[in-house]
Amino acid sequence: MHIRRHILLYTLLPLMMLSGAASFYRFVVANDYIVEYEGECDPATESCFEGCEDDECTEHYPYKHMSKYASDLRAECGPDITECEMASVCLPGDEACSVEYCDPDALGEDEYCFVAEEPSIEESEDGPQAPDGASQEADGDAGEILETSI
Amino acid sequence: MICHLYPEPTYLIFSSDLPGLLYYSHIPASITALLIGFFIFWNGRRILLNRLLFLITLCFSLWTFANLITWTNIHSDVLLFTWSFFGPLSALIAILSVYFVYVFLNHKDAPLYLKGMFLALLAPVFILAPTTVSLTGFDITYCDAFGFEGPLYELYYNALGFLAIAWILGMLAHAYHCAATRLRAQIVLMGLGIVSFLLLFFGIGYLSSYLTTQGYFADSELEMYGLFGMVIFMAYISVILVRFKTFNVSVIAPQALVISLILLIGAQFTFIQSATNLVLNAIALTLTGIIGIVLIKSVKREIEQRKHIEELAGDLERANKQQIILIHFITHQLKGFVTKSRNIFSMLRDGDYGALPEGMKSMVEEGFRSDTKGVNTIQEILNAANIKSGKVEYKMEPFDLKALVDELARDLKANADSRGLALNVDTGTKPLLYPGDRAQLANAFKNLIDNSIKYTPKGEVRVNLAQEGKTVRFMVEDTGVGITPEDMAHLFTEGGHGKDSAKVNVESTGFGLYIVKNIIEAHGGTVRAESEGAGKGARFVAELPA
Repeated sequence: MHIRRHILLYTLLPLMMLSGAASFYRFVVANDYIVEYEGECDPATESCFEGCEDDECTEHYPYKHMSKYASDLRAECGPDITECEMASVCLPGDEACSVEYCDPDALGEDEYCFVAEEPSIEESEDGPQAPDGASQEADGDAGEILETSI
Repeated sequence: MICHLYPEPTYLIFSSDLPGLLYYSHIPASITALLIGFFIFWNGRRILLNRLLFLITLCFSLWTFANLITWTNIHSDVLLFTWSFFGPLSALIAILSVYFVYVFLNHKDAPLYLKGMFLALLAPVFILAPTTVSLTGFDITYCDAFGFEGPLYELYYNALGFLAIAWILGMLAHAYHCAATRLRAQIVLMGLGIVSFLLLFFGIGYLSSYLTTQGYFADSELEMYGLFGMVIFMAYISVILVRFKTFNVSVIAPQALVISLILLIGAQFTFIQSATNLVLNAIALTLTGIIGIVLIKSVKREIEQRKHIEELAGDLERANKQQIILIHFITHQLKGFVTKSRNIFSMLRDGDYGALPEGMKSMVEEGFRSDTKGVNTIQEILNAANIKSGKVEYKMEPFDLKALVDELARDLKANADSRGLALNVDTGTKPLLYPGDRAQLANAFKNLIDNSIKYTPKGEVRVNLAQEGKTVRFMVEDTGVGITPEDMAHLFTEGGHGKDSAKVNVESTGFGLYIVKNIIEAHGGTVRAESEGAGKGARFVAELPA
């Protein structure tokens, strides 16, 4: 009678505790999950996405979409990936790793491909100009930007 | 992994660069809920309803705390571990709400099959929470897991929330339809509270999650507004507590109100920017605290006084009951003695023991009359006590009311004649069939006629009986001492003597008109007295539904 009356407590409480313990093991101990982040990208050799350094988007940086198994990434770089070169490449031992480069035909909303700034003839004659051209182009159509860059 | 674009929090939940509403929506809502939930639980730990409410507020507060961590923390492992609790806690809130409403409406625990249903709905949540069906990964750039929520998050948790809302609405509608009028207000208040909470919590939560996943919003800031649903729920709970004492808890609404106000004002410190606002808010907080303490103290004092009065009323009721028992005992005993004495006088008067000496006859006659009055007086007191304790049973049968009034008038005519009064009776010419208790109505009408005779020193007493439409009207009018406005106020009350009535009728018990009123009202009728004042006669009107 007592068990029938408290059946929810007796079944759910152990389930909750087991579930919490399993989650703790999976996420905190085993790092059994995928991590997505922006990996370092070299616009000279790779087709990179364009990211903004600040809210006003006056400064840009190139990146590529990286996806790695958290356990591998932690083993390679530790908890912080900012200064870790291995975070931006897939290594032979990585369990699940993928790199996504900028594809002008498959750009998502608010995604742009990075355009490397090359000094024009006028610029080299008249001296350096403010990098307005790059940001203006970045604000325009992504497809057009890519056409000029590739 | 660390979300390197965001600052490290202090004490797990405090960080800069956060939406201004974050702490204001999270902290007061969760603390208010937890305080009220805990207080109700503490005041009735064995009551299932109190336990369930506490569990709902506990789950909500844990959810809010977990949500605060996901807004401020930057460690992916901690964040995902915390994130994995959102679903189970939401599911628990939904099912516990259904359980809570069931117990509230039915005043009993849910049956086993219903608990089985709850279990079947919740078990997958806990079994699958640590798996990839729940969460698959984490985005370090945005420091969230919205893009990695599996089918459990996208479908099951929200479906469970909306199922709970529909289930609760169904139960409430059914209960409202079947409930007595006095319970409907409680059902409406509880329904509004819990449905508002669930709609805001799950509705805005779902909308926020969907729009963020779809990329319409950069973050899930919208979900913060959903948390105010709990504040609304707690407000309704407080109203129910105060008005209906649903949770068997003494009034704590002022305490909860003051604490909520302090929390709401205090939480404003988390996003105030200017020094002026900071000072003004500090003043408001201090004043609220002081006024709150005064308010709580005065309410506490009132509660204590009320409890004291209730205790006194209980004592008085007990004393009254004991007094009634004592009166019953004494009057029964007295009635026995006086009846015995009256019977002896009766036998002596009737010559059962031979002829009485001439000098003794008048004394025996006086003894018989005196004992007869004594028996009648005791019977009147007993009748009043029986009426008060609800022991009188009425046998409603059709009988001729005209014949009854004529018979009473005949019996009382000798009494009126002996006082030199004219007793004029007008009961019409046709029989008046009426469904009522003949003996009780005879008692009531006799009391009214007898009363008029006793309080009329000279002149006449008129008795009238007539049916007008759907009303039978019995009226006794006299040219007697009349009734003053002061006496009129307590004329039909228990022991309600007129101020100077003892001068006219020394034998009055004060129960006669009280008995009349109770008998007439038991027949669905009314009785009233009319008089233009002292010395101007009186009219007693009893109206019965035909």
